[in-house]
Amino acid sequence: MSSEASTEVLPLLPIKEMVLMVHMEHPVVVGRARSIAAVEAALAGEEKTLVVVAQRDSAVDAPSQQDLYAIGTRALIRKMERRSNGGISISLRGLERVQIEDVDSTNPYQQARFKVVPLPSDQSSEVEALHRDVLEQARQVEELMTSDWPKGLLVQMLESLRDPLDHVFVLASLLRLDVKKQQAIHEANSRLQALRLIHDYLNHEIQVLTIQQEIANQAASNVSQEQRQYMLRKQMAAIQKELGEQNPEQAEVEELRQKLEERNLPEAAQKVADRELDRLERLPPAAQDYQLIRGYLELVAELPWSKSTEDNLDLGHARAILDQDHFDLAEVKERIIEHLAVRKLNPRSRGAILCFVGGPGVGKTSLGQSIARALGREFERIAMGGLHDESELRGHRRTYIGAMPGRIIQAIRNKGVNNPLLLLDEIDKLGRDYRGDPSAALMEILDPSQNVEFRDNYLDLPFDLSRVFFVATANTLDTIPRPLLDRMEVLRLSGYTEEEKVQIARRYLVPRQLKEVNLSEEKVRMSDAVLEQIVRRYTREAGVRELNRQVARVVRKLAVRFAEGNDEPVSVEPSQLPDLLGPERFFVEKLRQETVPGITTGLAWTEAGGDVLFVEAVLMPGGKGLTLTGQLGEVMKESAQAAQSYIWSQADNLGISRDKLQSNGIHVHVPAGAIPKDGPSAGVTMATSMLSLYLDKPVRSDTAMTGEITLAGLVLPVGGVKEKALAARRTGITRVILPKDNVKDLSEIDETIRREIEFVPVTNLKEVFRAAF
Amino acid sequence: MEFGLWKPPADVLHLGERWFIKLEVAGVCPEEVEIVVHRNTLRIRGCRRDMLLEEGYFYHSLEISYSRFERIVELPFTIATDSIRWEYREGMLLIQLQKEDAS
Ligand SMILES: Nc1ncnc2c1ncn2[C@@H]1O[C@H](COP(=O)(O)OP(=O)(O)OP(=O)(O)O)[C@@H](O)[C@H]1O
Ligand SMILES: [Mg+2]
Repeated sequence: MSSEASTEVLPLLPIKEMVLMVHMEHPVVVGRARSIAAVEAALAGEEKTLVVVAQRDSAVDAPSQQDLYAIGTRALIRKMERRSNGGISISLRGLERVQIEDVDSTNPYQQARFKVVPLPSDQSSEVEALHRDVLEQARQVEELMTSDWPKGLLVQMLESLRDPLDHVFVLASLLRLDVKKQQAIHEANSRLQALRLIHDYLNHEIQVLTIQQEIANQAASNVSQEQRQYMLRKQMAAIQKELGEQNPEQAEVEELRQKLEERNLPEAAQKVADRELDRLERLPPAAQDYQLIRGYLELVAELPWSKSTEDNLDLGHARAILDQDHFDLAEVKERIIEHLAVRKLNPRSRGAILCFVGGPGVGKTSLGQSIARALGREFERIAMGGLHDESELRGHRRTYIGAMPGRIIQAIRNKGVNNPLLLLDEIDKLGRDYRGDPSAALMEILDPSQNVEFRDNYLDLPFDLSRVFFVATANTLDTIPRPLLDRMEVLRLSGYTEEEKVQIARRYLVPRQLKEVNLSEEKVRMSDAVLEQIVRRYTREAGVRELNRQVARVVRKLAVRFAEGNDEPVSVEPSQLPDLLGPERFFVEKLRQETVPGITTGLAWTEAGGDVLFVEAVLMPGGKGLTLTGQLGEVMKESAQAAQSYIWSQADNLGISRDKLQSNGIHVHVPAGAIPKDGPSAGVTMATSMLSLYLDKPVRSDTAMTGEITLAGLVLPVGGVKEKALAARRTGITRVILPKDNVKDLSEIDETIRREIEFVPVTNLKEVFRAAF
Repeated sequence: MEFGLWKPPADVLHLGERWFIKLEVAGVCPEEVEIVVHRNTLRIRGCRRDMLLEEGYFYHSLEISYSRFERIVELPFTIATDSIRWEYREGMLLIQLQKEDAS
């Protein structure tokens, strides 16, 4: 095939810490851009071959010819797989020894001009004698190797080969020799020389192994198995270090081992860690399990098994911090202080979990943060919203592809202490479905009698959560499972009046935003009149989130002016607001605080967008049938009739007295508005109004609804869900009942709205009624 | 562990006195196949080149072995050199041969 003189050119792949010998196969992970380009070039060739050569110094990142050995290997890419980080895993097989003549680095990858250097084939009685000796040594080494090496495998492997050089190469790769030694074997220009080299190395290996075994024998009598392995490993590491024989994987394993040792793991964890370390050591780094085990061990090493922060239980200090961060909320703060006082008296009593309940932006999350600050604890927020799967809390078993620890363990790892304050944000949004009930897992996490030994599926080791300070938040208590609610001490934050909002803005939000952009408070004045205007005209909320956002907008715009050279203090006037924040927004009259039975908020949709509409129903004593007023279209009238028929047919089940039905007519009115009123989507609203009236029970005022109905009481999907949701939000609605089939449309809706509004999916009228009252 | 060049899998079968060696060598160019007989062994060599390759192709993963292969097959008898026939069909190389002393 290749005559001795001819030179060829192939892409060049420099490799670190390893020499690819002829006939050997090795996994290699390629990460450097130039190397990736070389592999790509080889793959684009007909034979998928390239030239591999070891780097003299693995620290060099872009080696030139001087940094490489002159004798390399023509190699075949046997397998290739792309990794998610852009790297490539390949399996290389050595085909021939080559002498590199020169390296061309002008391409995105290097190319080597090379000549084949055939392997030596000298025969002599010395070669034969040495060969036998080497095989005998191999047998000894295998004999001495510790338990994890499958006995007989090496000898068996050697027996399958005939060529003494192949034997040398196999042994050289098993002995994990350093690059220099491997290269010497690779370059040997006679079999005799190669055999001599390996003979020396084997001799040395046998010595090391024998010492090791002696230590083991000595130790066996009076130390436990674990300690013995530990000592052996130490000894081995020491010996290998002495001999300068550590390869990078080994170094990595060693580093992990050290990290784990420093951690002072609990006994159970130490045991598992040792076991996994042993497994890791035995795997080649390209093995899939290698990365998995390493990831796992890194988690074990990084978890704060015994590291915690010291609590500051000075109540005066705590009070000061709470006041510093939040305006008013006197009652809530007092309850927090009481809670801390109990902890101070008895650090072991872990009482109930604090749970802040209130509308958006009233300060639930930031109160949690504030408590952490007061106590001097680390703070981490864990969003519970939309968490469906209990494994998100508790992790996946490691056998699962892409397994990860759950949120709790992740949070603790992030914070690096075992007693952070974990804020379980929005636990009322916790989902529940076939994947398991996360609230059950949460119960266990919060229960002081169980969480001492919390077991994450991924970690699969008990981790003590009892020192974690859990705080929960929720918009509403309705959807929190009872047993969970029972474990919590509920603190209500009801929202702020306009005056309070102005104060919060003046004292907290404005100074904070100014600080954010590095402006001193003297530079910008915002009068109460301005703040009030912002509250009234630019926000509509119970809390102060939107207010905060608007203040931030004003401040940022002013900051730009300062940056452009203006240095005079600025006083913001109400008249400037449209300039700074855009046109004022006028809101529909505030929803009636106390609704009377028979009035229901519906959501309508027209070309002009979404809007709310009120359906009012009144009983007409002595009257008969159904009267509809308010310029309703035909379709809407039909919905009203369907609603009435359903209610009549289900009267008994719904708990409506026959008497009431028979002696009263019903009048449904939809107040005239700017919008034309037709379409089927008010079906649920009309039915709810009628039921409310008959049962004499008001409908929840925070709730609006939309959905078409059938005579059988099924709820069918409707259009314009997005617009309707926007309209609901504009008018301060926080709950929307909608057909289950429309849930898919919710993905179009802005995240912030989805967070502010609770959507209740329904499939039939019974569910509507359950949610409406 | 495997060593050296890639080895195509081979079946050895016989029908009375006629022996067959079937080699799975899809994608190998039959003109490049070389068969050498020595006593009771056959050495079959060749090369699989990636012929379906065009400019700009981009491998996402690779499992097929390309480049040269070598396969040595030992038989329980001395091979009659002049009895060897072979054909390449549907990715298989079929070699037919007989024992030396069989007339
Ligand atoms: N009483 C208050 N005093 C000062 N700042 C406040 C007060 N209440 C809320 N804030 C500020 O308003 C912003 C919004 O508060 P936060 O994010 O805690 O609301 P939330 O109740 O968690 O709302 P959501 O339910 O939407 O998560 C924060 O910047 C917070 O510091
Ligand atoms: Mg929040």
